[in-house]
Amino acid sequence: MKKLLSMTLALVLVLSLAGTAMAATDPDTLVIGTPAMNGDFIDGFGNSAYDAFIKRVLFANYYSTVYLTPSDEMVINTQVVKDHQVETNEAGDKTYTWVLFDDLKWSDGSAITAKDYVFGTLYASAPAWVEAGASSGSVGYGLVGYNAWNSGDSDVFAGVKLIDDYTFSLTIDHAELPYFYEISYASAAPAPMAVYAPSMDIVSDDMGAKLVAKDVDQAGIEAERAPLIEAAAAAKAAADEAQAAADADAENEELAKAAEEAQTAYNAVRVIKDANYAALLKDLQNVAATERFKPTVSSGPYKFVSFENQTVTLEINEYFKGDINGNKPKIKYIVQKSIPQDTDVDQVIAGEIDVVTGVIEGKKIEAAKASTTAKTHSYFRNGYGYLGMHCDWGVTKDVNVRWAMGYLIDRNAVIDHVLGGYGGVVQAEYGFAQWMYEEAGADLEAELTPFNLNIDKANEHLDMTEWKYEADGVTPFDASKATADGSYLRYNDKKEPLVVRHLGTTDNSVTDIIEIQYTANAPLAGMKFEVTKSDFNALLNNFYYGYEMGDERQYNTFNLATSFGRPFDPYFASWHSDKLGTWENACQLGDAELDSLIMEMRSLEPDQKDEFLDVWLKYEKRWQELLPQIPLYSNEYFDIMANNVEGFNTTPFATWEYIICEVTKTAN
Amino acid sequence: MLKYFVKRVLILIPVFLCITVILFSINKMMPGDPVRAMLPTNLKHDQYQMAYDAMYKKLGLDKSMPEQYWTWLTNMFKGEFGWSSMNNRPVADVVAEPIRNTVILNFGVIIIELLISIPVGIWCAVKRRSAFDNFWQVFSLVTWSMPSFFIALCLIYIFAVQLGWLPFGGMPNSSLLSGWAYIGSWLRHLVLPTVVLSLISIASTIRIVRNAMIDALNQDYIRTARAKGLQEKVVIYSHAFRNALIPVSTVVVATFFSLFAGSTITETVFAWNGIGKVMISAINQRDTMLISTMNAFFSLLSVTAVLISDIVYGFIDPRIRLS
Repeated sequence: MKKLLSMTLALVLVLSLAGTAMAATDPDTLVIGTPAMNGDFIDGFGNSAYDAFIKRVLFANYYSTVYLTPSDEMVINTQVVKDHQVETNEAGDKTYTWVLFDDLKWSDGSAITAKDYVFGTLYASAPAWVEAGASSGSVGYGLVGYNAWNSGDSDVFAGVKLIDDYTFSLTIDHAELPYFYEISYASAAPAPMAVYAPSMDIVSDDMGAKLVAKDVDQAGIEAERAPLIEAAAAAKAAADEAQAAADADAENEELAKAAEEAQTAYNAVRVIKDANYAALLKDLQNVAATERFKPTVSSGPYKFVSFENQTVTLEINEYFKGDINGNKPKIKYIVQKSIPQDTDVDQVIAGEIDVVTGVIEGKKIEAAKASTTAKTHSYFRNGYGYLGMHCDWGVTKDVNVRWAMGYLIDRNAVIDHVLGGYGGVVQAEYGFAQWMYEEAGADLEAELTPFNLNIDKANEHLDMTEWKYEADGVTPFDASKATADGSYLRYNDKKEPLVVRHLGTTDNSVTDIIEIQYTANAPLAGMKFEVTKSDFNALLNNFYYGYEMGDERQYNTFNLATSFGRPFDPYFASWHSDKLGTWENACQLGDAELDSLIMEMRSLEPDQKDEFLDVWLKYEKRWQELLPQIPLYSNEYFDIMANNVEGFNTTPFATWEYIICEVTKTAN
Repeated sequence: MLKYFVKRVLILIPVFLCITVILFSINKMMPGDPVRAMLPTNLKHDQYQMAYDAMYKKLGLDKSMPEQYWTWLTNMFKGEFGWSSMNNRPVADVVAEPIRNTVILNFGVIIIELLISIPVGIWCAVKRRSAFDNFWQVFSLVTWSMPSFFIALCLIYIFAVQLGWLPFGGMPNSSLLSGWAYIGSWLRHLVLPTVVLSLISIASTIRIVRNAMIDALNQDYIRTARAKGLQEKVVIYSHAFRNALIPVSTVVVATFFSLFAGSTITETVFAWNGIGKVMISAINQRDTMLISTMNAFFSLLSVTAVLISDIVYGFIDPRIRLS
């Protein structure tokens, strides 16, 4: 028995030593540590930020016609586009005709043609993609015929045309023009049609492009569609009629229910599901069931090898032509693995992994800086953490309450507590790395009101609200009587106290410091601040969908974080009143002046940079006046890497997957 | 014996069904919307609504509660475990790899636990109040009292940070390693989580075995056996241990059925891709189908463990069977 035990232990020891050849010491392998991934590696599925790294290094930006540079510029991708023309028709629609190089290849060696680019736009905006379980995102938005194609009303995408093997065109709807970021609408990325939709083909004529099934007789398709279109039209008419009846008698619940049922019935037949649709759906369901987890081809610098036990392995795509500067990847394998987060930086220091990205905790950053085996690279986040406030409901509906909230928190304390000092404060909706800030930051800061903890200012603002009385609802509130124990509060003339209810998340240092700060400071301005801690889903539900909660609505403020969209367009950031009553305008802010500035800003020609900056300054000023969010901190992100990793020059706009072609790793 | 077995099974069927009803109801009462949790937030409102409606239907949430329960239950027995809202894929696909990893981890833990705790527990009882007994009593008390994450972090600090002998956590990667190197990598990654879980389970099992043995050793028939001049070995293993088997067998059966149950904290600390870690993610993301299915699976295991324990009791002590 003893002999057997001894032999077993010896065997275990030998095998353990055999496994010590850790990939992190291998110059051919770059090991990146992240939290857990979901395992969705093509766009349309999942919302894991760590899956997104892989999606982007496999596809996305590299072969797009329009390239987003690490410094946040949108330029025509000279590795992909051989030539292009821009024409405007009488209606004002603008057509971008892209001529591609003929040496672009998928990772399996097959050619990337214009058909793949057209397919990339068609499938990702088709209703069949949604029915297959994916999300269509904004692909194709802004092009002529997008709404009809995306909703399934039409089987042709009018704004997309396949011209020849290496030429295609995208036509921007005149209703979307002028647009400062016009070229973003003309951006297209390829999708491997032969893999994603082997049973489909593309037919393109003057009317636009459409996807047709190879084994379906297209001569009979119109006959098949006719009754379906008729049924959809009848259902729509019935839904409109029921809605009109419900609108006419808003109190009648039966009519409201009938309208809802009619709309559901219309939604069920709205998309015309002919034989082409069925064939496409079958192909896309296959993508959702297989390709999504294990992409067999890619266009980016790496190709997928495996995803096992929370570890993704990628290998160089030998057919990759190069990034916009012609750089090709230099490290043979990329391994992105889920690692324990408490010790992520320790693992870099110990040489177990090569890189961890986006570190914000001060202690970890200090440890990395003190280490002799690791180094750091930092940049400011293109976004911020904030206290979001509902502007349509409750006490925070009053802008002066929102401003008082701004004066009741020490944001530097937030940065110290949450980020160990590694961060900065902004006064409105902007980031330090945005080109607008770089060009006009000084002017902006001069225009904005810098705010920080100031009880007197908070009281000044609250004196302008309805909560300006003592408990009797008559006697004016006297700020000098307010104490930290909260025994002396503000009331309105209905004798209702000023109570702000905050929803945060558990185990969240931002929620903790918000609770500490406001619980201490708010009573000094006669405000009661109540904090509830829940899970992240409940937070999202209450923040984004508070407007539809009715009597169940409870919370005024929420702490979250955001990264600005690229390009920066506040219309899509959803501050426009068009988005009121939808989750997109989460703070439910509606302001005509802000609407006007948003539209003015986006409705400039791309070359009107100075005009854009002028409007942007006014927009930021107005945004701050309304203060729907209190920007709490703008993180300074740190990438921590082993000393032998070079060229890891990430930016606020380009995480590792964008700059991987410049990264090298030497042997220790 | 057959009658006894059938009777036990018939009792456990309604117990299991009640458990499934309770589990399903609790999960449905959880706040939050699983569809919202799984959709990306970069969709425009009408696109979002389309995606929401499609997913709502796909998850079967448009049906009534009893219909949802019945569909879930009957599908489960057909091997269809529903759709995970967290991963937007079948539950069976989501849990297959983590369950395998948890079984691998727990298998080593169980072997170590049983190999150490049963002989040590017996010996502690036999050598009661000796230095050996005192050591294991203190050991089990201290280990059992300490949170598993604390033990885990201490071991990580010593063996990964300071000595660099073992990995901090994570899982081995088959795509870049093969053969013995791959097996070695598995072993290296297994060492620390196995030690943490073994320490905790050993601590509790030693105490159970020791107490059962002390009770048995205090019985009159032990005194009689000794008076008859039987060897101490025979007294301990043939007389005392056999009579201490009922509580011990309960632990052993439960231990084997815990093979599939993940340890949430230990798996999270070591980033071990096991079912405990998946379960905590599912709870955080309101993946009701995955939570319900896995809890039903664990309930089925528990119910089966109870059944097997009852049968084992019947074999160990015929009086139980006859009563």
